[in-house]
Amino acid sequence: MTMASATVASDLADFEAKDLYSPEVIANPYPYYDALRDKPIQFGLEDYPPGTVPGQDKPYPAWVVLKYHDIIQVCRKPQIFSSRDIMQEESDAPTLMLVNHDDPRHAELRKIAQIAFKPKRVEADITPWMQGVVDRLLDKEDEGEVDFMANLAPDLPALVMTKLIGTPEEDYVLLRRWANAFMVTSDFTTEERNQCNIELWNYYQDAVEQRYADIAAGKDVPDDLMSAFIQAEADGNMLTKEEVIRFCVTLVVAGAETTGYLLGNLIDTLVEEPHFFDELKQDRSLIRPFIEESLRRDGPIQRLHRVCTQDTEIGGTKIREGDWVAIFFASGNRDPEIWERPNDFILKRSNIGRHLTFSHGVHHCMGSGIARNEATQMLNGILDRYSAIEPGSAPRMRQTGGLLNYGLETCPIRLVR
Amino acid sequence: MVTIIAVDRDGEEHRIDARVGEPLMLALRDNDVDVEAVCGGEMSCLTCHVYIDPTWLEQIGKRTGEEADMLDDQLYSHPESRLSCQITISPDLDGLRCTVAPPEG
Repeated sequence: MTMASATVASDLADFEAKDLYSPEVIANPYPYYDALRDKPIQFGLEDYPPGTVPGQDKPYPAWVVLKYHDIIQVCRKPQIFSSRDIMQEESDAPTLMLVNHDDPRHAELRKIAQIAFKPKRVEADITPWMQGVVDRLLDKEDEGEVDFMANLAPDLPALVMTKLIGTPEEDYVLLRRWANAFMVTSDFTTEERNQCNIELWNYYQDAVEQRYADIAAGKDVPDDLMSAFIQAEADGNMLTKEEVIRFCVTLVVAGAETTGYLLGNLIDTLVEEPHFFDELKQDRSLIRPFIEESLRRDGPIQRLHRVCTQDTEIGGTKIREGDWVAIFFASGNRDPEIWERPNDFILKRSNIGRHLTFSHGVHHCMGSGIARNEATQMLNGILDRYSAIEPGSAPRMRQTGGLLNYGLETCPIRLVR
Repeated sequence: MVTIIAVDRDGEEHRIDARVGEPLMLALRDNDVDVEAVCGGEMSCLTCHVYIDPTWLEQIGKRTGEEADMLDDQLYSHPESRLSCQITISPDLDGLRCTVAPPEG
């Protein structure tokens, strides 16, 4: 342990899990996880699942689970730790597909989604298009000082979602805004958040209804995810129209903002430790290990919630049926019991496959391949074009709006040809 | 129950028991031979990737379409590559030998 982290740990000896929802923790939650991880799990964190509206919906207090093995235990027992989100259901926000379903319906839906989500469709087929988009975005920025979080980071994932789902590309600006509002990260007023949720729903409702009509009229429809969701059938099951709309909404909110933060965190490391830039430029096979280690150490998604369907226990602490549990993947990703020097950025860790950023078990992120693909194309585009990335004239600031994501609000950098 | 011979990433050989009717992935994951299987068999994470010993390939059968799609783009994909979550243990797989593939990261 370094002197600095020893000091932080002793300062935080009395820190309680219920205080995690505060701006200074959200900006850098990791010292706080360290202070709590080896204590018995604590109850009382009130924070907001995706889609809910602070100031309007009332959060349920939750147990805070921070140890790697405890998180795994929760993830491997979906029948005890349910993903149904009562708070989201009670709110006006659309509930998410798969993310908030339990078996047996989850398994049925996942099977249908898997048909639509063929790796070829969402990865190989769109890679050349994605490379073109990255080129276009970098052309616009050219060189010199740029805030990476202003356009480069959020635009790529939003554009990818328009392409994959099959709506006009120029609507990506709308998608960006809606995803931000839904994920409870950025500063929105209650009214703005509600308005965004309504617009998001209406947008996909219109698009999906049009597509059903086109299919019914025998028109040729594009081979995109929207058509695939409508037409996919597994074991005699198909999606209802409402489920197709909810799938589109889920993809946008799950895929747009989180990936933007991932891209920002990758760039942050390249600026912080410039030797990685040179190593990656010389050997592109290091890009994938670089992305994986960033996903582990700085994975954007911090935690998701589960609800207990029966009395149970986690790490020796008894918890009751109906209790909420917040599982902190990001804390598991820095648990020293699993990771050597967990705060250091180390390429090619032998156990890197164990990171929890895309969750663990039946709810493992179906879009993980898309996120990795976007990260790969962005890094390749930057490495092709520039000789270095230097710090910009102002410091890089972390967002403090919500505990769901660890990511940058601003990332001023200098792109050097 | 059948016996599987699994070679971990350090080249060490393990003889492990596998239950008939269950995915090979479960036996590998639960015996700590470097198979993380983080998605639990959803064909989503690629962390249960193994190489099947060539003498067993015919017995094991071909990859499914989606599995082949998943494996195609991988750095360490070989002709003997399979996702162990997609292989169901049957009595005639007694003695199956496989090697855990390197992590993609």
